[in-house]
Amino acid sequence: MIKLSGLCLLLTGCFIPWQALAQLPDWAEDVLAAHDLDKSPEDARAWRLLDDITLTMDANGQIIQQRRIVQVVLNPRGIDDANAYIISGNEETSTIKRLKGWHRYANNVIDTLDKRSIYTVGMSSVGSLNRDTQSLALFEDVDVRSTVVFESEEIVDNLFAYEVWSVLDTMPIAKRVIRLKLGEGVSSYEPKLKAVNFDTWDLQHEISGNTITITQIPEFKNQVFAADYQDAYPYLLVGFLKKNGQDHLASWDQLATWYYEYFNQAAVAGKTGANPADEASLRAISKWIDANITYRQRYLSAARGWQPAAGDVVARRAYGDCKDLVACMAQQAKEKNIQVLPVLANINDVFQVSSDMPVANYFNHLIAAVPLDKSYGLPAEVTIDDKPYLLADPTARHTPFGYLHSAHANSNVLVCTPAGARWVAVPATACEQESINIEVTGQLDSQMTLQGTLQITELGDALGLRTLFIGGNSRDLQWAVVKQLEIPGVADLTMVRNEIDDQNRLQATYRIKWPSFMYRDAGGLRAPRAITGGLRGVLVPAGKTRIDPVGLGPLPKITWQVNLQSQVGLQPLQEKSAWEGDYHSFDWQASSGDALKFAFTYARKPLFFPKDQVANAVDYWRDYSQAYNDFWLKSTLFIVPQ
Amino acid sequence: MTILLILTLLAWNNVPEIDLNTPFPQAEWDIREDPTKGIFDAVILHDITEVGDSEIIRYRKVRVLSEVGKNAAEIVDSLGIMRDIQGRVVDATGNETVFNAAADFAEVLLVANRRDEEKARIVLPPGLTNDCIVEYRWTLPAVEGMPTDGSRSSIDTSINLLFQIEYFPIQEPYFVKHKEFIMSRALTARSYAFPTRFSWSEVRSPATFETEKNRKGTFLIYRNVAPAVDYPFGNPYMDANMSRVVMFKMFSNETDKPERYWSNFSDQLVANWFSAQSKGRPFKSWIKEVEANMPQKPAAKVQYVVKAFQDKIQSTWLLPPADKHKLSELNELEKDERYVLDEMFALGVANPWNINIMFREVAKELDLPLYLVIPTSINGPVFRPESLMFTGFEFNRAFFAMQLSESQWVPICINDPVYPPGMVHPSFQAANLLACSIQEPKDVQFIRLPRLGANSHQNITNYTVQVTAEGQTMFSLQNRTKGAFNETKLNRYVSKTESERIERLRRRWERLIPEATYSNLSVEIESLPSGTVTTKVTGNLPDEDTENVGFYTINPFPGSTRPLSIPTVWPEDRTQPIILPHTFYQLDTTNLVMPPGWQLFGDNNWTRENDVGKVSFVAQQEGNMVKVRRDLILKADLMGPDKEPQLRAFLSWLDEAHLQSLAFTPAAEDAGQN
Repeated sequence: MIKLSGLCLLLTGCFIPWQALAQLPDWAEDVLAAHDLDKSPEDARAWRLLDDITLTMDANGQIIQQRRIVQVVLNPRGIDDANAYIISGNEETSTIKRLKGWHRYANNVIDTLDKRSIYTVGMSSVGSLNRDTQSLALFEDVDVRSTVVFESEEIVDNLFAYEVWSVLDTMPIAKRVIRLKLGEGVSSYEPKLKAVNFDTWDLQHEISGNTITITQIPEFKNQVFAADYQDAYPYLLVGFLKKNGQDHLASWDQLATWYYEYFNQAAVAGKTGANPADEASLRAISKWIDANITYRQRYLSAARGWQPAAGDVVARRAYGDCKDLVACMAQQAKEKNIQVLPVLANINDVFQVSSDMPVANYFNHLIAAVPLDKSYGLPAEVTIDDKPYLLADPTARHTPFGYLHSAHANSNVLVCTPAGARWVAVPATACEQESINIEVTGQLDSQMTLQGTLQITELGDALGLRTLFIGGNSRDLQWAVVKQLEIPGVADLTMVRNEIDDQNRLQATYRIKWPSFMYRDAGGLRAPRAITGGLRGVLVPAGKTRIDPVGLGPLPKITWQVNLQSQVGLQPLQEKSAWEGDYHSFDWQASSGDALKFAFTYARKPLFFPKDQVANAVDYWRDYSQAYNDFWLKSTLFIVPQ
Repeated sequence: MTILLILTLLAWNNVPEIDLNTPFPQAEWDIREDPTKGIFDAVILHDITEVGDSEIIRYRKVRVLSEVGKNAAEIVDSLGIMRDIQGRVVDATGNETVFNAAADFAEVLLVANRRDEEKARIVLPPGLTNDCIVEYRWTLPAVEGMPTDGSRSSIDTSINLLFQIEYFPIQEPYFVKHKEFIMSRALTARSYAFPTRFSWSEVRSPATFETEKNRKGTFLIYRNVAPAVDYPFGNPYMDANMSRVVMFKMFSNETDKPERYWSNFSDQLVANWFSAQSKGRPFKSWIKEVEANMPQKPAAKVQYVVKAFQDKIQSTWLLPPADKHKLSELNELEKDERYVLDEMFALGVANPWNINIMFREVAKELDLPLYLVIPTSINGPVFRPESLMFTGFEFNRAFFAMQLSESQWVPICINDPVYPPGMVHPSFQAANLLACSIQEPKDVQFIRLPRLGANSHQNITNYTVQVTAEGQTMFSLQNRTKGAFNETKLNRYVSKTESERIERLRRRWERLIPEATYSNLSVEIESLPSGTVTTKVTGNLPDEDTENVGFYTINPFPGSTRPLSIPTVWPEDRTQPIILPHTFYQLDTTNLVMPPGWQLFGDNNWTRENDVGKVSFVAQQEGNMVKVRRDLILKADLMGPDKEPQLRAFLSWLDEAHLQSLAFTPAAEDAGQN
């Protein structure tokens, strides 16, 4: 009887149009019914109506993540945002248990997700061996007014169960819910949920027990010079910690002592050196690593970002990532009974550590702290527990001994000691001074073609030329010079000499032929854009509002000095111009006569305006761009005297 | 005895074993960076590939000269099938690191879906230094010489055949001292309907090439090959230094005569790939209808049928917004792998591939004197009929053509109506093409379509710009395009609704001049096949303070873009031809109105011309109005490497003309009055 019913159903099904069988799940229909698409956020390309996530910690210490999303396409630009669902995972640590999808066309025809349309792509490369994956579920032919619904479940087993989650996405989200649950019989964990920067962004949210509901989340606009720091945006700290202070993330001290042990166990089988170092020994270790170990990521284990390879394995491989390089250093030091402490760092200011509670994602780099038998006056020396230590970054292999790379400037690092955490500020003098000086000499013919010499002096690794020169070859260096200095492709360079001088500066000299060096503009002849850049654009387009926080990294001071014999007499419209703001500065000097002479210096300090100071950024940029554009229009123009 | 001899022959190979006890010759250690020979970072000392029937044996020895040069020693096996790897690294101090363990492999996922999983194997030899020699040997399982992971059938006559190609480039990013490719006798003795075949090319001096055939097989030996260089506007496949060995599946060796070979190719494969299994009633009734009304003269007949077909079948690429709902129905039809073209024909929508199949059936039924042209790109692998190899064919961009005379052909891109009859994408112009007759599939012709002159690709913009006494700048423009410029715009706009077109145009201009506000935007498209696109834009720029500056500059062509960008890096001693996207004629004119009392400053007029192109900029003031005209003409788009200096000069003029603004100062008499 049961078989007969099944057969009847099957036969009936043959005569029903397939579209009639496909329906959106009830929960998605409910979400759609609750929203008026004509009241979508202004300028939105697509609109996510619901993003609902439940995280459940199970008895195995794994997290089950269930997610439902409903999104609609509002205009053609939103198609590529809304037609795909991406699950970032890892072959070792995550498994997709369920993935369903529905696409309802504007004419109400419904497609369901064809499992053959789901692809998992490995993210590994030669430079970064890993097991990371991205699983992509895609609907084709999504168009304006399409509704796309996905539902998934995956199991995740990460080293840390408490992480940073971004809140903004590429489309506005009407409602985002994240709820934390403990699986049946799980009593050793407690859920943790914390909203950061929500007030600054004026985000509507409600935390009820272990659930946060956020509504009317704006999209990430990615406006020009949008700050590239996680801390500039709202985010959540989400996950589970072991109870009773048992978790590695229970405190900074706990994180530091745990990592000290964890690192040393992997790096030197738990047997570390015990003594402080003398400068000569440390210099020798540093020199050996610089000469023999290449930077390569090899993230093939589940503990990936945290567990280094054994120091002797790294020495045999002759490659490794930052923690492998520190492990190799620890192994070399151990052979001389010298202690090496792992130091968690955050380079390029991705985070300003502001929380009283540690989060693993705060760090993106590992360096070393080595106790010294006395102070040697080295630039990267710091004091920890009243004793001298040297901060050393074996990843930055071409940085001179005793210095740190400029990426560490103004940062704090966490030194992991057996006794707990020691926060240390990187000394201002620890990073190399960086600048570029370029001298152009030679002749300028009547067609404005320059034939002469280009002499570059790089202090520090300002443009990365020194690193390239040491690790590569003269041809690559020449191409990097052209790219970094934005010398137009029509110019011809011929290498004369490259060397690192006794002050560790790269000196590169080229013969150069540069057509249209001075180019026709505004009724006169303009200095090259490679030297002065062009007009500065606007921070806020006409009729738009600045939403994103503003951030720009530093630019080392670059100085051009041009001294040419010219077949055509050229007279500058303005001989001097200078400006110095809080972040930018420039200086121009030109003189007239038989020779064409001008000098230009430009520099930028790191610039950051958080969300609540965006108006200040707009004011600053207006003043700066006005000053710069006034200078550029007049000062960089030369006229031919009649 | 015979069996023993055969077994000995099969077991014997020509690839060295790794001998840990043998030091490397001093001459290999003496190699240093030498820019005059192109020696940078690393040198490939020996690279040997021996292709046997069920196995490929590889041997490689690399001299590393710098940190960057370590990359030359890494191996990526994208099929994930390499096995039996063994090797050693010896550094300059004599330290030796031997490797043969799984720890030195990394097996990583490339892509997986419900049916398949593809993994790659990556070997990073341990112990590499900036000054070392590394050698290794490994094998790859093969079927009839083709490397395989076991999932691929050895005999396959379907279009999958096209993917059974293995390339062995001789040139590498590093100097190659010795590279050897061996076709084992054991392999060449085999014969199936679709045996493995080989094709190779030579190198030019100072590199050398020699070939030898003996009882062990055929040996191809390349020596002193300079590194591959990425030239801007180049095509590495046309490089005089470029050489490759290609292994592929094709007909049996019954003929090596190109004409007969390609005749078989057309008859047995192309005709099969571009045929519909079922045509059905809608197709047949439409054929009858067309047949009843079509003219009899061949050219008129073709023209009539092409128009009727394009009226009947729409391409998914260019579907008007009102018909987009048909895509969901088409999706369902396409899930049926039996190619139910009759149902697609009834629906009136098909993807470009199926459109070509449909039209080929139409041409066959209506006896149209057409050829199906399988193109290769001028920017890709070169089709050389005598090589009997189909590398580089772009089957999915096949088009039709009618022969007018021995050398004159009219291309018809039935599945891409942005090209009117007579035009094809510039990348197929001057490339070697294979034309396969529809009526007589054994009839093939090797053809070339000419490159078109500058007037075929026009981009003409007329501006009016007005600056008020208060410093407000308003501009309006009308842009009309032809040829390749028009194709870009058609692809951008044709499948959009009017409001979507305007929105897209607005976004484009907001990117070009973010500080402007826009109004009166429009996109007009004449009906295909002409399809000329005209866009109109009006913009307002923020007020400038004209009162106190005493010197006012303005871009006479706001928002205009460069027709060609200037590549940053131009490696020396170019060995490839220069292939630019297409010739062009870009004309920009402006009627610029300034407030009374402002005088155009300086000398703004200039003209430059050489064999590559011409640039001129002219500004004339008549009262308050300045008439500005900028002509940018690229006369040649395909030229020899010796023209590089002229091309670079032309590019510098283009850049100069693009950046040139106009300056105004208060007129002398006004200044005097003040």
